[in-house]
Amino acid sequence: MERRDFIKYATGASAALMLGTKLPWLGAKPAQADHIARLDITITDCIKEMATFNALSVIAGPGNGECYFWIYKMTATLGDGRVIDLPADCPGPTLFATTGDIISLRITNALDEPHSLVIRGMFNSGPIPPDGVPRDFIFAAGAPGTYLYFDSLNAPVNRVMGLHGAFVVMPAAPAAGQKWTPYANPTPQVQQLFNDLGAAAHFPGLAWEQANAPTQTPPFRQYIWLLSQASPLLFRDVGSLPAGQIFPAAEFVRRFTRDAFGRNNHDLTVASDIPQYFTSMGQSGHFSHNNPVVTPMARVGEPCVLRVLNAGLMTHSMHIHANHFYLLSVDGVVMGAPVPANATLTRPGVIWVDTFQANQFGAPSSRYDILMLFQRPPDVHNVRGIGLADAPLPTANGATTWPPVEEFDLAFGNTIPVRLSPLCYPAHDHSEPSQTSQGGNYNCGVIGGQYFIGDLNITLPRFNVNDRFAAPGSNPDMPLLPPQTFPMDEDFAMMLGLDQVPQILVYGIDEARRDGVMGPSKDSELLSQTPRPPFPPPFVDPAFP
Amino acid sequence: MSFQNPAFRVLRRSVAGMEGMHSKMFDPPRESPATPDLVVRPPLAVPLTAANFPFPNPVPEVMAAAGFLDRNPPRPPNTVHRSLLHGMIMPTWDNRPMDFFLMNDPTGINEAIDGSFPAPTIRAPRGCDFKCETQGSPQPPHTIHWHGFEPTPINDGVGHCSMELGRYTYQFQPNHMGSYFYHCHRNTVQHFEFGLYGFFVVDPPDAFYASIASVNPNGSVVLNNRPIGFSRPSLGFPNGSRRVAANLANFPQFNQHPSYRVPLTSPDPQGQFPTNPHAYTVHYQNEAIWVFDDRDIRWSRLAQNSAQTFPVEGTIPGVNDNFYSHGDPLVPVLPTDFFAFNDYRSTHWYVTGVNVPGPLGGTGDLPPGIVVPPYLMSGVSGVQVSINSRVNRNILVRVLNAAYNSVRVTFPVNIVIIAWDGRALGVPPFGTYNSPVLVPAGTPMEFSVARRFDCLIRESAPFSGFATVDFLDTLRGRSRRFTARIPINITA
Ligand SMILES: [Cu+2]
Ligand SMILES: [Cu+2]
Repeated sequence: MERRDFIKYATGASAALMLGTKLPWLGAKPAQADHIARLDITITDCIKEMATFNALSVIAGPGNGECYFWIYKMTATLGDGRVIDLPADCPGPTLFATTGDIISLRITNALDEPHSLVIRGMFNSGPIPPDGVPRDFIFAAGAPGTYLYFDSLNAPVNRVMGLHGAFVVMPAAPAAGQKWTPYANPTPQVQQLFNDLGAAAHFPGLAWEQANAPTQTPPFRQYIWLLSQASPLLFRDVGSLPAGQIFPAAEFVRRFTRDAFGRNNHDLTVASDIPQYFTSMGQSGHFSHNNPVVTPMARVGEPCVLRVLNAGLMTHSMHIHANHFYLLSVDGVVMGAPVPANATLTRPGVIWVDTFQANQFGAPSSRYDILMLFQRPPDVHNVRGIGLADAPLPTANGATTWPPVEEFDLAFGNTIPVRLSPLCYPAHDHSEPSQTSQGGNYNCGVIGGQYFIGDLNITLPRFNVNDRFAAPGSNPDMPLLPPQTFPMDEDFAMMLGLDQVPQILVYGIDEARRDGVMGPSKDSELLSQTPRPPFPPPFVDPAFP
Repeated sequence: MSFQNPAFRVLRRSVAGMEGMHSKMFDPPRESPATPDLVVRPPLAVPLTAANFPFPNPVPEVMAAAGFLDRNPPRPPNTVHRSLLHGMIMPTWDNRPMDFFLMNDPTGINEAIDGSFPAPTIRAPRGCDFKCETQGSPQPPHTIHWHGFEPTPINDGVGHCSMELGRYTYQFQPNHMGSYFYHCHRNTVQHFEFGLYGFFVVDPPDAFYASIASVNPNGSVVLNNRPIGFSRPSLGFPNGSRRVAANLANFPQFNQHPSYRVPLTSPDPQGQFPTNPHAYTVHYQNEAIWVFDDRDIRWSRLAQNSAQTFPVEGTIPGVNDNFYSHGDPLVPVLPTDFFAFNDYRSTHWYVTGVNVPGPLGGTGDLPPGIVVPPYLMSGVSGVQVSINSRVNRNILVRVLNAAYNSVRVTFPVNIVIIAWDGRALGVPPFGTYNSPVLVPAGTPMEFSVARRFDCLIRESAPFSGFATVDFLDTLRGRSRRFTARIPINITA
């Protein structure tokens, strides 16, 4: 089996697996039609180190920036019998399948109470007793779309405790004579939109299904933001129950959403049990924003599909900078569909917005597919000023407004130590209390982004490292980039340079190291070896009521 | 398996090799560079021609000529000015002291220079060269993010993607007509909550230029007798009019002239602008701006330091960063400097800066007759909050959710939504895939933080009633926390 056939996303978000044998939407297939014969899933637990740590804390474990989770731990058995171990994490691995794929699961519950795995409309394991006995299941991937797999028992406790992951079903073929969309039966508006990508004058670049070999751009670019919230104190208490006891769901929800106001999170006498960590793909702050798994990174003209799920109990209002995006589907309903007879609000079609409401799992408006255009940011100065990518204007210094080379000069000329390349834009929850970690630390919460790593029609490899310290042409390993290519900051190069495979098929970081694709780890387990600063004594704020 | 004995341990990802990226997320550089890629346009010329497009932003000069800006000392022409962090206590309806961080216009008058909540509304014509000279005053760092606009990263005003201020002149070309807002993107969780934001309208390309009779050599302007913000005269509107982007082919009651439904790329019949400024616009007679906000009195009381709970890069990034500081490396950090910004529970509710009276769980009415003064509206007179209009008029309502929770709005009359998030529905090419929608009277519409929509109302019979705005608790269970009622009066 080619390493590209089963898939792990790298560098800091959970792993991803391609299931089944039919992957026509991936384009070229290797000759041997290998497949994942069985997915082994163990329902177990972990302690996870989160984005920050609070040295003020006197709360062991949770106060150190750790959180307890229940997780779906997976291994994949390939057709030739080899077994691939996927890393333990919350959420579970992202699973991709093609509609109609037969998927075989072997589920073992290693926790102390009954658990399950459910994909609504597709699969339900039913309660699996905590006996450590593997049980086999088989099911067929249903209609194309974006789903959550999760534990539906003792709702919402087991799901919110971490037993969830994303399950993506792709169509087997596009509609006859049409371009690919993410759906089997797209509405006319969605079909027209995908037909226009790379074809209509206002969408220069590639179609979604289109690869571009010179830039190593893969087809079917897609990303997943699985949003969640975590309460380290509450999760600790759930994980500390004696075996066999079930944590009451009502008390869980009350403490998760309505525990008393807490002025800080490092003193147990005042700390609240409401969530302190807000994650996308289990990561926050730097670890999700500067992460090519969470943050779409593409060139101008390389549209991507982004699938958004909320596994938690809070509403997030996700705002993506740099480009408005089209809402393709909401809760599995493709936008532009005929109005149901009982709907009072006429559907406006595929609307083009900058922010959307991601409600808690199960509520209306909690599950989205959106299309990120990767068009040139439209409010950069140009000739006609009507939102189309017209010719740029001259600047005071004799350059032009696009590409914004003078901004790069600010970084690369060392006038200010600001990293501006690739063109970096954030994507964050505008319900801003989620932009925190452990209660403060703005920008360490749920955040993704949109990065432009090059301009349209630049035919250089995707992850070139532009060595800005070398004299031009002096380093034969560093091809000179033409001026219209955005220079690459060395930190980003570090982030992106670990592999040469297309993005959706990114190889796992551990495997990459083991196989020598990537150099030895510079860091090892630096964090676990370095002692943390001593904790100051606890305090009580007399001002607090 | 249990908390005491977990099966797995998931380590924090190393930041080795990415220390700069890691630190910049929470501790961005604070700089005051000159504007890169600066577009320098020739002074505003009358008559305007497509050949010297894009024109500079005419609004500051028009406002100065009308007496809404104080030009002493002189400031760079055709440039909007904003200062951030203007702390102010404003009592709530129940006479509790609510602390605000405000933006002001140092060239403005009245509340514009004192600092207003929300900040003075910025209006600019589509396609102009927009510049805003910005400073954090008295206390940096701050930024301004132009929500819904999509310029280069440094002009996007997000610290970790570029820098915090200092002082800087933001620059972009607002290229889609519609409703936007601007807000501080530094410690946004605190600074946006405390009031560092304002509304931003992109008007049709001919909106403010039409008020200019002539341009003086120093760049100042002489006004004609057209109301500020009116666009140039057109069929049926000898004095000009106000217009908004829309495709109303399916809604003939709003009297959009068919000749206005031409492609955005079609030429201006008068040769003034590079494209037809009437393309996909419609006239309106009244305009209202609704900005919904909630405040938490606990935050106001316990988190007044604008640098509270700032994380600071440590000597070993990723290992000993200081995640509980107050932003000042020279002052010892006390545990009381920490505030839990994840814990938000609204206690007071505002509509366009007006604290609607009523307690948690209650209902309160916005008074009738609230009109935004022109010095807070880029010179435009008559923009309303509570709606007063006449039958058979096009009434435009621009709505922004600036709270930290979703709101549910119910209009007592039919509305037609013509735009979401600064993008007019049904306007080709990008609106080919959507269309304006009729929302029948009484239909609740829920929408989340930072979203905007524009809608049109037109009634043929007199009407008096209220729109209701339910402030939901979408951080905890989606219950209703408060209901504000906004009067709508339509007379014969
Ligand atoms: Cu934003
Ligand atoms: Cu914003």
